Amino acid sequence: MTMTTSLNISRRLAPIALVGSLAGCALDATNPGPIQSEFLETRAALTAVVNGAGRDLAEALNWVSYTGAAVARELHPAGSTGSFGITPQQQAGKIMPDDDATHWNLSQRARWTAEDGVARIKRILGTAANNNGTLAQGLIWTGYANRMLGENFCDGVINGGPKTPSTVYYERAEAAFTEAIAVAQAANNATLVSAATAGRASVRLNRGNTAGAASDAAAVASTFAYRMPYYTTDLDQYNRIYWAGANQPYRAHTVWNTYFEGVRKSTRDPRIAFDSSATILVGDAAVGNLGRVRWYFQTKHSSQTSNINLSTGWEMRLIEAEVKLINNDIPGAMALINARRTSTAVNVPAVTATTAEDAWLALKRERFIELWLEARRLGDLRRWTAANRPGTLGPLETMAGRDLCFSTPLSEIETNPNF
Amino acid sequence: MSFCRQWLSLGALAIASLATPPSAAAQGGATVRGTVTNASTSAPVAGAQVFVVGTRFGGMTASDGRYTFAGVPEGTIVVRIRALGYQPVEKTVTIAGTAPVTLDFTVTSAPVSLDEVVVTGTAGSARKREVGNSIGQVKIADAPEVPSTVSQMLNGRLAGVSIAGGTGNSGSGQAIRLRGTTSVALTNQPLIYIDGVRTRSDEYPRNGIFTGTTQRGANVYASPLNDINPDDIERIEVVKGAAAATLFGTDAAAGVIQIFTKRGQQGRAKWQAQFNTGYNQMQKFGTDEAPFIFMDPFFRNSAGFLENLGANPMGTRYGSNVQVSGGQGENLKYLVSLGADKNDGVLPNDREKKYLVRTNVDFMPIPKIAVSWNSSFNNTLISQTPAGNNAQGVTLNAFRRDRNYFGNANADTIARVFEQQLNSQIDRMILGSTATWTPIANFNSRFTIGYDRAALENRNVRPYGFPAVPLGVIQNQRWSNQTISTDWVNSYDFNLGSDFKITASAGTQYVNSQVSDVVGFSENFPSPTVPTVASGSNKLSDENRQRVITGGAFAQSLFGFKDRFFLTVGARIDGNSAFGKDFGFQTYPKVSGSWVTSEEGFWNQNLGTLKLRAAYGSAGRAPGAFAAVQTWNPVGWGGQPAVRPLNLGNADLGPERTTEMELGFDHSIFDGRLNTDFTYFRAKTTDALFFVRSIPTNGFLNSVLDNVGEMEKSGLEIAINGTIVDRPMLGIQAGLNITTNDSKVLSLGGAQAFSVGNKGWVIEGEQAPVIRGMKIKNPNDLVPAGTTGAQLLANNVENNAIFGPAQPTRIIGGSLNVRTWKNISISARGEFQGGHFINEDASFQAITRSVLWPTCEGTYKKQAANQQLTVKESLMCVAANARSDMFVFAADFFKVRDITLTIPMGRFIPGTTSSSLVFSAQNIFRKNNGMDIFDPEMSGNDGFNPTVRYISEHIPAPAVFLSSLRISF
Repeated sequence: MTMTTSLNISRRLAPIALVGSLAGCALDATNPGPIQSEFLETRAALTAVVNGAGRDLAEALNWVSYTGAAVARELHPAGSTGSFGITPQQQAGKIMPDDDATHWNLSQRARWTAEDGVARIKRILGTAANNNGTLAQGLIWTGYANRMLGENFCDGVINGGPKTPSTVYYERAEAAFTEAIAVAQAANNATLVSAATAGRASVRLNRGNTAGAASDAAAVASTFAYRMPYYTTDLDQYNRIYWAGANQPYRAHTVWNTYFEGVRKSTRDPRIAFDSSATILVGDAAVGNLGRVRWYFQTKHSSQTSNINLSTGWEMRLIEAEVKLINNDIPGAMALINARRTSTAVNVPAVTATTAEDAWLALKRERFIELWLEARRLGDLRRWTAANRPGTLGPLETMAGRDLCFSTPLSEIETNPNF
Repeated sequence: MSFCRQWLSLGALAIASLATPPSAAAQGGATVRGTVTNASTSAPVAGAQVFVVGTRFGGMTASDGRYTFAGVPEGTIVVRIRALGYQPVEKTVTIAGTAPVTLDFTVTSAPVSLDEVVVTGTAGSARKREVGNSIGQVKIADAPEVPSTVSQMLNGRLAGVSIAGGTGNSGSGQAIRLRGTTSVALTNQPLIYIDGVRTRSDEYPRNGIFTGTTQRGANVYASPLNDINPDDIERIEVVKGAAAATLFGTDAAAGVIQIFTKRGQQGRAKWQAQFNTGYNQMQKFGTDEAPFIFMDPFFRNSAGFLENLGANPMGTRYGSNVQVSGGQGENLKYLVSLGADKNDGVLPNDREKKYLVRTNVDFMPIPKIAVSWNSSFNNTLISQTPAGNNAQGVTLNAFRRDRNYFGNANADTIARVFEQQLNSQIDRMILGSTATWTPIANFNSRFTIGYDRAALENRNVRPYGFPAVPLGVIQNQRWSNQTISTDWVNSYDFNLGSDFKITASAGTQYVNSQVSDVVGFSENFPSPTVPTVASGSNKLSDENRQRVITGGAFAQSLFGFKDRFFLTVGARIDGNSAFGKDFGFQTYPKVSGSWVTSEEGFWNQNLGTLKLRAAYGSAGRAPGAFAAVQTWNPVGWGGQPAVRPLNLGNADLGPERTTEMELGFDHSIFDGRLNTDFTYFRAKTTDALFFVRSIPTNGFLNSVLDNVGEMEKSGLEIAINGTIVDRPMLGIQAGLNITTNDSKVLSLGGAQAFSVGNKGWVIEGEQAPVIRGMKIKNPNDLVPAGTTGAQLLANNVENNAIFGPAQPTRIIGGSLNVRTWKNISISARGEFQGGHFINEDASFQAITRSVLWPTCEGTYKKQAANQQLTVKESLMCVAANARSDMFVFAADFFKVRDITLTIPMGRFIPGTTSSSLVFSAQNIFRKNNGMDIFDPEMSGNDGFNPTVRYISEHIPAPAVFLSSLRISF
């Protein structure tokens, strides 16, 4: 065979050889980006898993605190109903099943991610987890995620299970906080010990364990604060209450026509921080029959990165005060309330109460002010309503006709066969 | 994959080695030349193939109908003419020495030619008589208008094809649906092949922001199809469903469009040039009182030299295209095309500039191997105006008047959004080479390798001082898509006696597609500056990369008997990288048959020609790259690493399979003057991929793709074309396309009804998908005094009511062409679409903010006069009562797609062989039946290609007026 012939044959066979070879190519493609689950089964990934739980809780808290504030009239709508707005139903204090899927979904994901992370840490670390700070942090996110669900949502549903009373969240929260205290103590992390203790105090109050609540609260200093951080990294991590109310461009809510407008104007209480603009007087759109309303933007959350309190020492004092009121110790309760009011940071006149009704009213208002825009108001109202606590709130504080909790959305009802 | 890459490289080398300079071609011989004209009209026939039967000698007629080819050796030869729309003709002539021969032909119209060759959906190629499924064809020579885009060219031309979506912004593309919705979870764009090369069919990413409020841009998407220069196209073949697309396998269930570009012909260089000029003009899309819904001050030229004429929202456009084609000897043919277009939109920042180049070369490097090389490059520069549902865009703020995000309707204030710079650059390169080896007469082997690369830069700048973000924001996105494809087809003809023939074919296909993008974002510039991403004080970035590989092999046998009975059986087997790990290969079978009934002895020839056909076949649609895998999303948190649940995954995930049956006939009567193409189809999708909603309390919030559903669709496609008058001084041709399409969700596999967005739902027993919303029960009843909003809603609204399908169920297209003196012709095309519904959200968003909205003028007058309102007025015009779900409307409409006047000028221009003037008006009239305002073909913020479109704060596509001078020399 000559060289020329060989070349001709090889030319003719080249495409065939090429195609035959291609037929043998593997049809696999490993794509970068999303992380496959098995890659998280390593000690190195645990911090990211727990941070993810923290971020999930931050985003859920963002939504629940904002919409909860609108429904509980901590804020008044200023117009926008779409992005960052308050729907017409929410403006009227109604949380419709179709409206709150985001709140439910994000809150449940926060709970699941934290609980899954805790289980993963225990699975990977074994007994070494018992004094591991990452586990303590995961347990604290678990506790706060469950507390938020318990305070704000009507039904309890865990991992595709049946509908239960929402108290199931408190049970899980208390268990998580209790374990967190132990792990954090073993890890010698005082901040996490206080955070877990303060969280458990609030949960125990909701569960009616007044002695336990008071005991936990007493273990936390008044100056302590455990806060959920927010970041400018991307929009989901912005403090939503700030961003929705800012001129960026939504101006979707206002302090105008709320209880706080009057309190602030009469007392200058710094805990009720809001401001107005000399050039932009109204919100971004009409609010039902009210038309355009004055835009008094809250400044408690003054930037995208404003933290939201999860627990503070002053909340602990109010827990102690509530326990005292439950135990009919009015002077003791009022002393704790006024300790905060007359503190250097607040410096507003003390309030007095001689009757239980007045004392309860003072406590309710103090918690209203102290925990303003922190996703706590609905839980307080449910607790007091359930226990039939005295103290009639004023017209702007009343919740007549308004919902006290987020109902279970269709996203759960229609997908969960056990519900 | 490095193994594959190495072999691809070797493959390229192999192809290159084949492309060595051709051996000395046979020189000498005679030149054959002549003219091809229409027998009835004496008009020249352009684009006709003229060739010597049994040889490779041949050419194509120019626009003056002339052809020429050289080098024909001595002897008696048969010269045959083939032209789409005409009956084939041949003549025998004897060549003596090198003396030139002149052969003129006249051809007779026969729009349905059973001997016409088609290639899409068959292994190799086949004559139409052999094909059992319907194939739609658009020949550009039959499209008289000045084509502005490929989408526009296809619009309203073929039964079963609908083109919709898009907006009036520069760079906005349109979606293509073949036989309606095939999938409710995956894209419904058909596959697009260009000269045998697989190319991208889904839209390009919009120029938005990747993080936070993403809609800070024009909120429109460009279509890769519009990168193709319409002037380069010779014809387009469309196979509309699984029965015809089986051999394309996974991903072909929504049909296939194959574009064939023009090629060079033997003979001297022939030049064709085209110069276009015209303008875009916004047509009324509001009410008589507010025809542009308060957009009047913001259109281009609103404050310009035409201001005294009132609102004149128009932008100019002009372009040119030059082609040269020819051939050297027998073995080299070429076509080079250059084009440039500039198109100013109706919005002030809108502009689109295109530069296009194409080179197609056909040569024979060695005997028995023919190589075709195609290359095209396109550079598109798009500038846009912020629009859509964008709080910092012009349309939203104009529509919402004093209730907008500026708090006032002052035009100068709103016009500050024009400071935003939205610039996109698209570079598109498509390379393809096909080598056909014909070692013996009965066998050929064809190998095609293709490379399609689209590179896009989206630059989005809100400068320092921009309203709402006074410190400025910038984003730069670099996105690219590359598709490498190979296609190997081998065919062998067995001739068993004079009556029986078998064509056996087998081959492989391989498609490797990768999408990558990198985004840089920053905000808060230190000072007024011309920024880069480096200028901002807060920087973010993002990257995504996805590769999907499909490989398959196929085999097909075509059995022919007496050249009138044909049976085709075939199958394709496919693997895909996106299938679940527990899922294997997929097999797609097909069988089809045709019977040329009119060639039977019993047939009365006065009844014309008739082919009956039937086809049955399957094709698939593969899930996305990550759908099968359980994944977590690396989200970060305050600079720390963080992950969260993303996709639950499904190890058993596979493609959805669509199996389709087609029955139909092609009929031609009265010497080809009346042609009917009738098709009935019924398609059933099993293992349909549905997004099954996850249980939120299980942590993974995203819906999970699962092969759980079952859907079907059926319909008729009837295309009737008739020559009513055909005389030298007058010709009248008319066409009618009728399409029906009904679909039904047969099973959700136990899953709950689910939303596909934009009020679209997938519900068992209903069309797929349907529009669901609030239906007003007693719209014209008067509302009793004292009725509260809650009572009004409770008594007069049906919640979760099903309005109807999202896709049109009836499409009727008509065309008319009148040829007059000197072959001056005028043509018109119109189309009705109906039976479907759409959510019009722009009105709701305005009304619920108490904007005084044009459609509610009557209501406002009644309110001012203290008159009772109707239920509909109270619900849809009173802010407190309006609900988004109420704003669902019938989307029926009629549109005039184009009216075109063509004036042939012959050799009127010195030095030319022919020329013509064309005046074309496109999209110039629309009549809605259902929606009071806007264009039902518009799209919303999510572009033209979602499963269900909606309408947001956009302007519709403008009318286009173009004139074109076409010359050949």
